[in-house]
Amino acid sequence: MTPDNNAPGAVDAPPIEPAHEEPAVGVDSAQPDRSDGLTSGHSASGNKCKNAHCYAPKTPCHLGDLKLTECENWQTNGAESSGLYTEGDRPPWSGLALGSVDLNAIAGTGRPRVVALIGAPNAGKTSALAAYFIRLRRDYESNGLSFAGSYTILGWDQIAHYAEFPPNGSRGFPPHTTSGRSPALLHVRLASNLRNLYNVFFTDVPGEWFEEWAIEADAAPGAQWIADRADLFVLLSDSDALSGPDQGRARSSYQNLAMRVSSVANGREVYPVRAKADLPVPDTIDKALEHTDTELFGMAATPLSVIRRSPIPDPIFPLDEAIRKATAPRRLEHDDPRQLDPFLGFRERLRPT
Amino acid sequence: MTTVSRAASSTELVLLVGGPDSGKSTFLVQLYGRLRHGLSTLSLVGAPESLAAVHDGLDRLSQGLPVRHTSAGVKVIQELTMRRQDGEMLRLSIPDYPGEAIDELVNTRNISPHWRDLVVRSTRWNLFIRVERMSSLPSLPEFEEPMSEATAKSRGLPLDIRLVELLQILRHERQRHMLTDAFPPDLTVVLSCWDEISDITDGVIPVMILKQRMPLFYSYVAGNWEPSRHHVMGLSAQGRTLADDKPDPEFVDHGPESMGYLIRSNGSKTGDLSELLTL
Repeated sequence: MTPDNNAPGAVDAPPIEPAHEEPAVGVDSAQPDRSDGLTSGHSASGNKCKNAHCYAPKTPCHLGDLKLTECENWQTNGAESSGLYTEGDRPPWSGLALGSVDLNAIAGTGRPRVVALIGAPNAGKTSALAAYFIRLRRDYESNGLSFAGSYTILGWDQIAHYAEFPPNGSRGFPPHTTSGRSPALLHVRLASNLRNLYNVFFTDVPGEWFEEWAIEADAAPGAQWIADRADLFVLLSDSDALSGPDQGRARSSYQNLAMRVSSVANGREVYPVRAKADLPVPDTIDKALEHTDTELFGMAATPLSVIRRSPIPDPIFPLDEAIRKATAPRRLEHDDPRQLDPFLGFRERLRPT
Repeated sequence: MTTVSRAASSTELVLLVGGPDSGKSTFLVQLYGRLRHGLSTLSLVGAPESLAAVHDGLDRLSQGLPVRHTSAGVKVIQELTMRRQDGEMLRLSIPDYPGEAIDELVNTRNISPHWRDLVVRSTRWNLFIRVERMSSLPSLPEFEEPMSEATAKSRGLPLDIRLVELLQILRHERQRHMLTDAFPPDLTVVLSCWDEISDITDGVIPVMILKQRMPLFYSYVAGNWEPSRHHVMGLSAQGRTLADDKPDPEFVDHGPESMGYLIRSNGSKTGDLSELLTL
């Protein structure tokens, strides 16, 4: 069922770690163990597939061999493992956040929308995602769109869990992306009615990637991968940092990042958002950033707060607005054959649902 | 890929899907009791192969005691041949299994050959949900000061998320074999133990409860099944909670077949539990 990675429409493998790793294990993206930048998702036993895009035995064999030991790419590391899966079928998604390899199966059936959350470390990217998922669980519909599925529903649950209010959650924020969780993509399928379905991906990656990328584009291939694929850039500034002891540095690093995003956006929309907007930012800094945002992106930042009792009237409005922008009709959407695998793209448009 | 084929047959296969304690067995026992007493629009033709578990269940209910948990390997009812009021024959195959098998399926993400067969051959899915088991909906954090990295208390997967993932897996399994009628069958969401739902007021229809308690799950269903192909109903197979240590006298006096009811999609009540199968 998984499309061949060389098939038209397949997405190049980005240096994002695949999702099959245990969620609690953080992996330093700067030390990949493969030449293509992918971190191996193979089992601890050492048995693995030679094919860089196959994560057997955690997923079914990409070539379809039921018995792994009969696959020519299967490498055993000594004794144990019969190479047999548990008898039965497995769905081709893990439910956890997706790595680039998993993305192929979905991207190949019609180009998804990619929302890039860009921001410095701790700017509140993951918290914004957590708030969005809590919103999906609470409200049947927002902005005319309703939830119609997700290949990463367990991944959503993991990040949202931290932000939930007790008794279910911990009143905390999700652990930092590099230390507690894997950088990856979160998926949601949204329906505007039974006929219009959108596959939307949100990036959830460490802010350090963007920090390095702001200075040196080549330094952070992960950030560049995102920049190459984003339909919408949501650029977060951090009220906490902008009002804290390092406010000067926070300001200039935001401005560097804004410049970088603006230079790669190439006609795509950048949506500046002020995270943690329940905290006040000094006037002069606020003015400076407003100038930057207006100059580069044509609008001042929209305030976002994921705290329930915040002074902002509609604190999570930017999340809805980002979804609205990302699902807006896209230039050349159905006319550019390069964007779609012809066979699968055709099928997508004829879906019976 | 394993080849699956579906033989042409007039048998309807109703797949009752539901986790542990979601009320599948009690429903089957009560359904059989009514069929046997002729209290249904369907009438029984012949006896099912295996009646031991049903007899045990009916026996328990007649004493005013709850039906026992289905253990692995016990078959409650496998097949029922019935006659509709219009004279047409209806053969129903209703597999029952311990509810843990459903949790297993989501936890291990592995669909056994037995389940593959059920998922592919079934003509109707009845999903049993006990909404009182759903934890309260999450809300945004209230705190003013962001806390540093907190460790959340570990908790199981919330019921709404678990059910979405379950249906996603079942739909995928059904569709991957590319049979011509692979499109998921009609879905009936059965809100079981309706009597224990705390905030039922007059005029409440089952879909309102589902929307209120599990918005995420409801929008998944509404976004994937046409309006005419999914229903939400309420079921109280016993009509009340029974306790192991305290026999209910009304059950003893009136017999289990007069207890229990179904709430149709429009909110009306009926004692004919077989409507769940013939909708």
